[in-house]
Amino acid sequence: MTNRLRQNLPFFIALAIVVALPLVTRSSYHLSMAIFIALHAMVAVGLGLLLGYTGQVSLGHAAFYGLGAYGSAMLTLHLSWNPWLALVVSAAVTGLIAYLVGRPTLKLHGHYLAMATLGFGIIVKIVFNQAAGITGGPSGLPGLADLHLGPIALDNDLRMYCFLWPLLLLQLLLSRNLLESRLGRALRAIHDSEIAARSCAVDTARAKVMVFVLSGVFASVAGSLYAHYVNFVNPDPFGFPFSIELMLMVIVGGAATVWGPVIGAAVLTIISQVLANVGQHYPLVKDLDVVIFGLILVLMLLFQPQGLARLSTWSFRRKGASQDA
Amino acid sequence: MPETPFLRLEALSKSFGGLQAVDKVSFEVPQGVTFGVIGPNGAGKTTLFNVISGLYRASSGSVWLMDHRITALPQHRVAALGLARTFQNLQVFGSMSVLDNVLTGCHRHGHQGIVSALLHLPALKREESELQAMAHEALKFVGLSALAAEPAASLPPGRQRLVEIARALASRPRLLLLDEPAAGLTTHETETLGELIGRIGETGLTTMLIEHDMSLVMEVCAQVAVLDQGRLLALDTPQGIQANHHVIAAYLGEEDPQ
Repeated sequence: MTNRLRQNLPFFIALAIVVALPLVTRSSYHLSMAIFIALHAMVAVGLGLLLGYTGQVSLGHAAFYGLGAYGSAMLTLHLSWNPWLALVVSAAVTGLIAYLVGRPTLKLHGHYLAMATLGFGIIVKIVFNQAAGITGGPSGLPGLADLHLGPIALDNDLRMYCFLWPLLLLQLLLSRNLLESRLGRALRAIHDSEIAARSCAVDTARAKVMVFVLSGVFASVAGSLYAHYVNFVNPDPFGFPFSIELMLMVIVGGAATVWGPVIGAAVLTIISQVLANVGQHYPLVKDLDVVIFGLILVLMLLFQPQGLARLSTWSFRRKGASQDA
Repeated sequence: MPETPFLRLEALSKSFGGLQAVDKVSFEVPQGVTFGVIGPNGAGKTTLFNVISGLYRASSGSVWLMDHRITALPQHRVAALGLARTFQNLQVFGSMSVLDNVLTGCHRHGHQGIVSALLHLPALKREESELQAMAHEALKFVGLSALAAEPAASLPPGRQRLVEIARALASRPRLLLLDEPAAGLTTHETETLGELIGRIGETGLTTMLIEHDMSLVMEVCAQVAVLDQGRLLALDTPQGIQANHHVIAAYLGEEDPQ
């Protein structure tokens, strides 16, 4: 029990920070950064199920995030749908698209999913840019309404913050439930040995498609929430670079825990924002983000391959490692 | 012995390019028997197991498990019918605990879907406690109960082998395939393994065993099939096999007939 507490210590520290933040600061800059961290974390946690637990690489999760955002934008702006209905329908359609992408590729062995999702992400971005009649083209679609929770409008940063973080916690709970079930064991089994998983009667192709679709749906919901928060969508945030950033969030945070990607989302989102701020004064820094992200990736893989979420067990692990050697 | 044979191979063949790894092998395994498969290196024993368990697709011929023709089924469907196996080169789920490894073996007895899993509905909790009971029973049977919480990768190879056997037994299989379970084990571990396979046989589980350790095979098997260069060379009791001069020739090299 103490061991479990110790393993999840960073989680409780993060939770304390999340609860304390609105008490300490009401600055719109800080709150909005925390909101973006929550949105990115929602995508990253889903991607963590796929990448960390099942061992399948997706290079197109920004596209699922974008499909949710554009789905909500188009359904509420063009067809005047209720935003919550639009969110659910967008998530369902995104899930269906994920199924159609995942089904043929996940039957194959090797990194076909990475290839397929890479191509898929590029195609989706092209559609966002080119189908100007419904997507607004490169300039996007402005004017999305704020979300309402019954009579309460989520029209300021504090309210959005108080809505998104508990929602993220709920997502973490659902994900943990999944992982501690028979299906979750099947996913981890696939990660370790596909042959042995199949010899345990696990339909590996189906399990992989299932977790891929689930992670796509999580990303789509986050995308819809993003669109209603910024009240605007355009193609730029949903390209290949963001897909890579999402992967980095999972790797930096650590795939060994469900909540690791939340830490990763926080680290990457803050670095991105700081670089963007500095870049306004020193344009050279703006292009350094790719270099810095690459450096982070290398350093993580060299020194902390299990991710920051496992820092608390580090000294403990090191002892164990010397016993192995 | 039942009317319909338990496992039946009909002219089963598997070739890789020009190499005929398994060549028109036909035999029957009766229910409840521990059945040995022996032969020199490269005789096609593991290939035979891989074809039976659906890991490889047969080039021709059929495998029948009771009245199911399992030859064309994918591996997980064969496993779902109750065929469990272990691997010559260990295939434990290294990042998972010993208990979770064995619980994964119970996969075919669970039916709860993803919604139930995400929400941890009462039906899932009930199912989970049933699976837990099955897994603990299997762990106890192989003597690993004390190590249930350990990460599987941290165990020495001999213990990992037992994890694989427990994982296979936890599925409550109809047929168990053990592919060289004594490979890499110490003499003492091999003795314990022999005793374990003996106890598995006593439960009435039909077991096929590939093994190089002849004393182990002679001790636990009621029938033995000998493969050589993909063909079935002999099928007999262990005593009959030991006296069979074709088998001796295959192992020790052909003596000049003069």
